[in-house]
Amino acid sequence: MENLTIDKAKATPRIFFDATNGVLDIEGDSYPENSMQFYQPVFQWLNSFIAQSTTPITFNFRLDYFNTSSSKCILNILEILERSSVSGRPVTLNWHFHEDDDDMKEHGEEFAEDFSIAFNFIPF
Amino acid sequence: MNLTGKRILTIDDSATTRMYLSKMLERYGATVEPAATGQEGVEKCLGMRFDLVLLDLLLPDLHGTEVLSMARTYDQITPIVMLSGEGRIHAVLDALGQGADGYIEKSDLTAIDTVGFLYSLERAIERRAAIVEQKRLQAELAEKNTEILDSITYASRIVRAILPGEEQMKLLLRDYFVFFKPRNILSGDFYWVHDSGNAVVFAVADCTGHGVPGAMMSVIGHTLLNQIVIEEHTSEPSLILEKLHVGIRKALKQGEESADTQDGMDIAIVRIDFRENGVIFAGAKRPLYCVSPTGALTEIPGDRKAIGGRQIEKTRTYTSHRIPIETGLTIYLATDGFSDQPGASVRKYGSRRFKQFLTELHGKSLAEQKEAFARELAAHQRDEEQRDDILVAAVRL
Repeated sequence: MENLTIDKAKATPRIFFDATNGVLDIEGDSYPENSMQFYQPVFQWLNSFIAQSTTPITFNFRLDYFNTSSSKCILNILEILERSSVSGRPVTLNWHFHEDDDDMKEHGEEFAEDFSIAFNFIPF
Repeated sequence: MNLTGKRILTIDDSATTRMYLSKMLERYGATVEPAATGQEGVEKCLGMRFDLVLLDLLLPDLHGTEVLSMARTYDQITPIVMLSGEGRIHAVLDALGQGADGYIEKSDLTAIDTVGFLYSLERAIERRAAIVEQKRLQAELAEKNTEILDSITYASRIVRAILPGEEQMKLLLRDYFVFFKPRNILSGDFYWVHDSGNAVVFAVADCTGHGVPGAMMSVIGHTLLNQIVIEEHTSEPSLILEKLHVGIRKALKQGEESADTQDGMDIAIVRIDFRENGVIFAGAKRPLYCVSPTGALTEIPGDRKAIGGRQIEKTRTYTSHRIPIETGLTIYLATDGFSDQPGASVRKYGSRRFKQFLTELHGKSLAEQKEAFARELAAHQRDEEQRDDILVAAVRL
């Protein structure tokens, strides 16, 4: 399976999903005008990766900012990860946040409350 | 190159050159119209349509660039190629800057390379065609942009009419300010107020999206609040949020198989109850900030649950918090636009700094505070683009 690479742009994050080692990174800012459209290939890749391989997943969120419509897409990603985790796939979820960014930490905590996967909170 | 059917104007004071050009161009099928002076050339240019103009730089009456600029005033479409003697590079560059599409050195026309000559004409024709096309696209884009902007501007009148007016706000909240700075013409942030007799219900909301989709969500939110608070007489903030959540999910058919939106809003809502002498607050991912007259800040967090969108629990509930009314207490309801705004030197303003800033404002009147918010934002933001809608509201009790 091919890696998924989307370069960072002004309003969209850098996305690098490595199919060989299962390390999936999203980092930067996310506030596209049409977030559903931007994240569509991300959902698709993630779903087929889960269906086609058994490689354990390490998912890294390292976001500086996301708008509310992007947060709905993050929810979708978390739902996909949770489903695969429940069906036995090892999933490690790292929520990176800037050490003095209370808001980003709290966003992560809010997501964590809604899901059964364990979140690792990692300040940087 | 085939010039069949092309009408070409040659402006040159030398009869030999005119004759030579006519012969060569007619051999390739063109119809040639000669002009011997600048004046004659301008008249013919304006009176007839040509597919190409060959224009001598040095004419007895007018300079070639003068003829060029007169022609270009009225005609942006016809390709114009300058004919020049040797070593007149500055005049040629001048002409190219003023709208000529190419130039040909004609010192010895009898020795000229016909293929190269025709190639230069062809290039000039293509160049002009590209300019014309670019201008057309620009005009089309400008027209479309105007159309969209007009539509949005008109829509903004409707949205503004829905927002509470200044008079109503002053009447109900007395001492208050609203610092509202939408990112675009339309906004996904909105505020809402209602007088329910002994209490005033006031809300500040941040819908998913900004601009057009944000405004559409605002209108849905506004309508639902009217229905819940005014028609159904619900005034308990936590209940209002519960109904709002159900209402949004129903309106957008969320939770149904076919649902394809997760949209909703974050909101802070208070009931300022003069009879009970208290403020009742509930929040969906938005807190309430209270600052005492001495500058002590209390943050009452809202529930960590948005309005609308994904729901895993059976029913969604929110919590009401009661704060006793204390004279001089200032309450703040805000969207995250201010604290999420990136600055020139920092990634974002941050809610830590936002709270700090609130405490620094405590001695000031609300009118002064509103100005202070504007100044603080400008100083922080500098040249950075605004990222989201910004709304901060305060009420002094």
